[in-house]
Amino acid sequence: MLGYIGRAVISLVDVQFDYPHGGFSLDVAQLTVPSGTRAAAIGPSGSGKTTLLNLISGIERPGSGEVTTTGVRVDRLSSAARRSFRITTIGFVFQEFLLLEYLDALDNILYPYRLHPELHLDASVRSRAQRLASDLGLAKLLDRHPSELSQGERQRVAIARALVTAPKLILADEPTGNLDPATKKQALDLLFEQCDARSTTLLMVTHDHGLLEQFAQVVDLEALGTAEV
Amino acid sequence: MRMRSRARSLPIVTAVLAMSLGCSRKAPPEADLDSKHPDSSSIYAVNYPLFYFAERMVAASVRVVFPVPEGIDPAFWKPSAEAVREYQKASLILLNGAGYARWTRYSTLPQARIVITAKGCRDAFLSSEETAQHQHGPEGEHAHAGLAFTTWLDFRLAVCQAAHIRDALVERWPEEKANIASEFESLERDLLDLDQRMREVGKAMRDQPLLASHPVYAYLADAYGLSIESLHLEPDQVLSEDDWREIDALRTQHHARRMLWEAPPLEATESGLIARGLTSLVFDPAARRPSEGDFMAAMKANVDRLECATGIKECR
Amino acid sequence: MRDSIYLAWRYLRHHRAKTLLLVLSLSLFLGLPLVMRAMSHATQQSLVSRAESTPLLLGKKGSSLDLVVEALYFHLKDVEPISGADVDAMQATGLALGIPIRTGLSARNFPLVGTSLDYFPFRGLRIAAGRELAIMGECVLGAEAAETLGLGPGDALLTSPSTLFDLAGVYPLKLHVIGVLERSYGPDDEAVFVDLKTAWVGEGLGHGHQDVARAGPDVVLKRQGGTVTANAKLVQYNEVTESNLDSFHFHGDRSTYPVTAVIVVPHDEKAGVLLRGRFIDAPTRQLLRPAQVVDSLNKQIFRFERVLQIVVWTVGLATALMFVLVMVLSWRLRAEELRTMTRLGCSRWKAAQIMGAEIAIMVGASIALAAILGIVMAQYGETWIQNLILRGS
Repeated sequence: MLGYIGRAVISLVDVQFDYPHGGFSLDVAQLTVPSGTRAAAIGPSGSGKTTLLNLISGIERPGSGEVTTTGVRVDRLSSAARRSFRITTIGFVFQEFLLLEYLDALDNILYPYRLHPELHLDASVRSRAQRLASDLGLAKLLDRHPSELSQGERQRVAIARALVTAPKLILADEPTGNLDPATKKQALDLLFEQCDARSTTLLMVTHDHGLLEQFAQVVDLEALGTAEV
Repeated sequence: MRMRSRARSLPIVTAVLAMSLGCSRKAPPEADLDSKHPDSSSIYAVNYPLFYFAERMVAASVRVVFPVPEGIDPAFWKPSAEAVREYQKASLILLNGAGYARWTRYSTLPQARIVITAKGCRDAFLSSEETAQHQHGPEGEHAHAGLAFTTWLDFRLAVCQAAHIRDALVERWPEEKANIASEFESLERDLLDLDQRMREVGKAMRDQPLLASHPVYAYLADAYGLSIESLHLEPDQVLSEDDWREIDALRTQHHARRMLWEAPPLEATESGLIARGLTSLVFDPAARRPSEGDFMAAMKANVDRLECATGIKECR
Repeated sequence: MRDSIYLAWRYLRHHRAKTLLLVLSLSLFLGLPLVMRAMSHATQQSLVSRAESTPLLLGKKGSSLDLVVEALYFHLKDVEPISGADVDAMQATGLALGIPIRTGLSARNFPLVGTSLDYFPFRGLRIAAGRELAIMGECVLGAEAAETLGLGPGDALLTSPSTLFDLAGVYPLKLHVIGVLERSYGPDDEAVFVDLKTAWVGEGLGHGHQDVARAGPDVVLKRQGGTVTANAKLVQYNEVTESNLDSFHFHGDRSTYPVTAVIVVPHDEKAGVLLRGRFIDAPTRQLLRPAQVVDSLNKQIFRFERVLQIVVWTVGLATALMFVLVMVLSWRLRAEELRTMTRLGCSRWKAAQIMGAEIAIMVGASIALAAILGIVMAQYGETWIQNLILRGS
C-alpha cells in the first residue's frame, strides 16, 4: 500500500539496476517506506526481492536513480562509507540464518561488533545482547553452538544479531522460509514484537501471501516496476 | 544472566627459539691426566721392611705410612674400605710382591702409583709350604696360597726391592734424586753386609738342619743354604700334646738341633725343646715394626744370634 | 586487531583436528631441519670429544671401529679380547699409563665396565654420593644408571646371567653399590663400574667358595695325597662379603685373563710416537687413535646429514605448499561466511585480517612447537641418536 503518511526510512526514485553480466535488471519508479512501518515486499522467485534489499542496504549501487535509506543517499556513498553505514544502521535477518558454526550463540549475536571498527564491543553492548537474548528466550542457550540449537532457536539468534546494533532498519530476506508453521509464527511474532518495541522499521521480503495481513505496507515487486529476467 | 567464562580463553604459548638448541648441552668433565701424581706427599707400605727402606731414602717432608695395627700380621691384615681409601690417596703404594698382603688381591688400587718392589728380583718366587692342592669344578687341580712371600730375608733380594723403591722415589721426586741415591747406597751397604754375614752362617750351618716355628724362612733358607723344616707354632702360646708329638716325629727324620722362632718362645716351650735337644733361636722376620729399634737393628740382632749359635762370632 | 584474532582463534579451536594437523605439519617443516642440524652437531661433538679425549687405544687386531665403539661407548661389538699381560706390558714400557677396560657383562641392561681406579680421574669423573671403589665386589654407578634403577650407596645390584638356559653357566654376581658418579653427559652415565678383578669374578674367572681343605665329608669327593677333590655340593659364593672375601681367588695366570682394550695415556708426545711405532707391524695387536676412527665415522654422518637435509627441505617445501593449498580451499569452502561478512558490512581488508590471524596463530604455534621439539631433542635426543649410530655402526 502506498501513500503512508510519515517520515520515509526507505525512498527509491527512478532507480534502475542491471547485473554486470546481464540476465536480470530491476526498475523501481518509486518506493517509499515510512519510519516505524512493518512492510513486506512480495514477489515470485526472480522478481528482484534480494536485489531490492541489496540496493536499499548499499550492497549494490543502482545504475541510476536515488536510493535514500534512513535519510542517507546511499547511492552516493563510497563502498567504505556504505559498509560503515550498513553495519551501524541496518540489521539483517537471512533465510538461511547464516550463523557461524564455530561461534556460540552469544558470539554470533555480537558478531557485527567484531567486523567493523565503527562498532565498539564494550560492557554496555554485552549487556544489551544479554537482555536481547533474554527477551528472545535464549538466555540459557548462549553457550551453545548453532548445531546444538533447533531451527527456531537459530532464527531467534539471527534476529538477536540483527537487533544488537540497535539499527534503524531491519531487512529480512525470507526469514521464515525454512521454518515449520508453528515456529514461523513464533519467529515472526518475536520479530514484530522487537521491532515494535524499538520502533525499528522492518522490511521483510517474502513470497508467502499468507503473511501479508500482518504487515502495514505491502510492496508488490511485480507492480513496482519492470523486472526483466 | 549467564556469564561467559574466560577461563578457557587463549592459552599462552611461549616459545624459545632455536637459540636454546644446544644451549642445554653441557660439556663433559675435564680429565685429570695427572692421576699419577696426586696432591698428597705420602707413601704407604704393606709391610714394615718396605716402610723402613722408604723412610731411609725419602726426604723428611714426605710422610711414609705403615698403617697396619700393632699385633696384626701385615700379610693377613684385612683393612676396612676406609683404610683402602687411604692407600688409594697415597703418592706411592709399596707392595711386596710374591702374593704378599692378601688384601691387595681384592682391593682396588691405582695401578699408576703401585710399586711391586720384588717384581723381577727373581726368576720365580718360592712356593709356600702351606700349599694344599685341591680340585673342584671343571678346571681341574689347582692350588691356593701358593707363594712364600718374606722375600726381604734374602738380603740381596731386599736390595733389589729397595732399588725399585729408589727408582719410584726418584721418578716422583726428581729434585731429591741425589739424596735418595746417597741414602740408597747406605742402605745397600747395610743389606749387603748382612748378606755377607749370612753367607758365612750358611756355610757354617751347611750340615745342620733347623726347625722353624712357622714357614716364613723360605727365602732365608734358599739364599743361604739352610735346611729348614717348618711347623705351625705360636711363640706366645703353650704347645699342645699334638704339637709336641709333631716335633718329636719331625726330629726322628730331621735331626735338627736348633729351632728358629719369630719371637722368644714361652719358658715352658723353651724348656721342653731343650729337653728334646733343641735350642731356640729367635730370628724376627720384622714384617711388623719391632718393639725395639728398627728393621736394620732387628736383622743385625738376628744375624748376631745365628753367628753366636754357630760359633762364628762371640756371643754378646 | 583483537577481534580478528578472537574470531581466528575461535575458528581454529572449533576445528581442532584440522588445526592440529596443520600445526604439526608446519612444526615438522620448521623444526626438523633445525633439530637435525643441532643434534647432528651435538652428536658429532660428543662422539668426537669422547674420542679426542682418549689418546690411544690398544686392542686385538681387527675392526678399529668396533674396538672404539665397545671400549669408549660400551656398546658390545663382540671384539676379541687381549689380556692382562698387555696391560702389564704397557705399564712396563714406562711410556704411558695403561687403563684396562673390560666389557661384556651387564647389570639390568646397563653395561658393566671393569676397569682400574685410574679411569675415573682420566675421564674427570667425580663421586656425587658415596665413595670410590675399594674392595672387590663393589660397584659405582653412572648418574643415569643410578637414577633409572633407583639405586644408591648401600643398595645391591645383580649382574645379568651370562646365559639363561645353560645351567653350567656363570651365575649372577651380587654387587654392592658404594658410589654414584656425577653426571658427565656421556656414556659413563649409563655404565656400572667395577674393579677389573670384580669383572673377572662376574665372568666366572675368579670365585670364592668354602675352604676345600677344611670341608666336611659331604663336600669332599676324594682325598689323595695332598689333593682334595670336591663335589658339586661345594658352596660357591655369588656375593663378596667381609666374611668370605678371603676365599675369593683366581686360578691360573691372571696375565692371561681377558681385557677388551687398554686406554693408553702416553706421558708425553714423544712417548706416544714411540709407542705407535712399536705397534705398527704388530701381528695381533693394534694401537689406534680413536679420534681418527671417529673422524671417518663423522664424515659418513655428515654426508648422510647433507642428503637428509635436502630430503627434509624438499618435503618441507611440499608441506608448506600443502598448507597454502589447504588454507585456500578452506576459505573457498567458507565463501558463504565471507559473503555474510560483506553483507553485514565487513571490508575486504578486515576479512583478510581475520584470515591472516588464522595463519599467524598456526604459524606461531608451529614455531613454538618446533622450539619445544628442539629443546626436548637437544636434551634427550642426542643419546638416542648416538645409540642409533653406535648400534648401527
